Amino acid sequence: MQSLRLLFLVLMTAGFLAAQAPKPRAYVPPKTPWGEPDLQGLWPGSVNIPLQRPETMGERDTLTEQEVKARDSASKQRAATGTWIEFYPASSQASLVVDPKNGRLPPMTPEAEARNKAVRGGLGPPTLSSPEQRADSWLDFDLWGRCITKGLIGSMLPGNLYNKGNRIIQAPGRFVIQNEMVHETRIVPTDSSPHRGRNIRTYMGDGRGHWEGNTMVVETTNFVKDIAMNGINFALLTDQLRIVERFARIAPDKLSYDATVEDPGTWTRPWTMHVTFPLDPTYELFEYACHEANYGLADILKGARMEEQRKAGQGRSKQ
Amino acid sequence: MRALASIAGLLAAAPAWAHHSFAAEFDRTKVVNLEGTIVKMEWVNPHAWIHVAVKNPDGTSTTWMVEANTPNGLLRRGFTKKSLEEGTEVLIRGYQAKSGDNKINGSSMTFKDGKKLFLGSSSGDEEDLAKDKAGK
Repeated sequence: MQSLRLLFLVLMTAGFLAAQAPKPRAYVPPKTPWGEPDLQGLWPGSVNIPLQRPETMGERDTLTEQEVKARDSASKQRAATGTWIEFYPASSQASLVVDPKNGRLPPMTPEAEARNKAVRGGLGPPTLSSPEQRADSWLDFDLWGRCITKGLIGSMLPGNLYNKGNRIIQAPGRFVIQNEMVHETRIVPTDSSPHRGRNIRTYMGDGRGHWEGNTMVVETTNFVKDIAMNGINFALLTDQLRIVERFARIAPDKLSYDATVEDPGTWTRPWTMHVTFPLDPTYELFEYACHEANYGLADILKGARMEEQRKAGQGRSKQ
Repeated sequence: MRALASIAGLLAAAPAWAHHSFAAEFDRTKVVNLEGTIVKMEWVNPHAWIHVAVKNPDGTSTTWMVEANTPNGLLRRGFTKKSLEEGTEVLIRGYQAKSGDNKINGSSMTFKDGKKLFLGSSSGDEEDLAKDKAGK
């Protein structure tokens, strides 16, 4: 009986002490001289996470150790055989899409399916590889192939091929997001100013930012109609597109990034992607001017014309 | 320097794409081996281009353009403006443009002393290419 009392006393004391122990506190980022959370720095997308996960994974959002190794080795192989391509280590995060819970983009509306199917006489929206099917004009190239933009949020997607530098710069009343690929810089007002007029539309849209605690929330609207996001470029989006991004420094060297994409003219429901960007102060962000020497575009168009002439010549010789 | 631009109808390792679809721009069945001297290098995006003078059997010279990696990619791998100076003798292998122009996608470059220089070829990601084509 005595020993039971002693045990009870020990447990009570332990419980009391545990209740008194300081709880692990959330990371508090440093402040800028004007008092905002300081998110500035180089946050390259040097991490390998695919946009969607295989349907067979269901709602499992984390890879096994073996699956991480397999993803890593595929990425190494890809970088070794394709020297264009930079190696990014694999994350155990199954997919960038975290909502819906199956890690896949929601279905398109029937109207959006039909609209996209009808693009370019039934060929669908242009993609990186679509000039292989047809290269009649610049409209058979996607916006990246034309050196215009990877679009929002295409420019924020980690991994992919190369040049995945991102930089955040802050100033009083402004939050600046710069993407190395492909030379986009968004200067987002954070001074409560309203969005531009609805008729003023751009490829990267019109962003407005505000702080929710230590999180910078950027809401972007006013996109041009019929743009595609590189990396998600199998749908031409509508002018109802609205993207809400959340940037939060969750550790000295980690930036949590979430983007919720809604376009009722395209998808049946909004979807959200998430990635944690690592800080890399040694990363060098190089200029990526691209349009002036985009010889590849002209080469592809000329190659397609040569192929037409060759086929026409074969047709004549058969007659 | 011995002249030549030999075009072999070989099926080589299949490059895919980088900024542009490889298959739309170049012919993977037309492997070209160039032996010549560097005329100049254009450090331009989305891909750098190297100009090489190749002597023909009749004594004339033909300039070929060789597509290399993006300038950023070359710089990150230690390829600087001093790596390839005018007049350097090189052997370059690549795939000819479908346009029929004297342009190739460079896959390898070797100096006279046997040293190799990374060029970068738009090879690689067949898996992503398949996904891209399938719209997934």
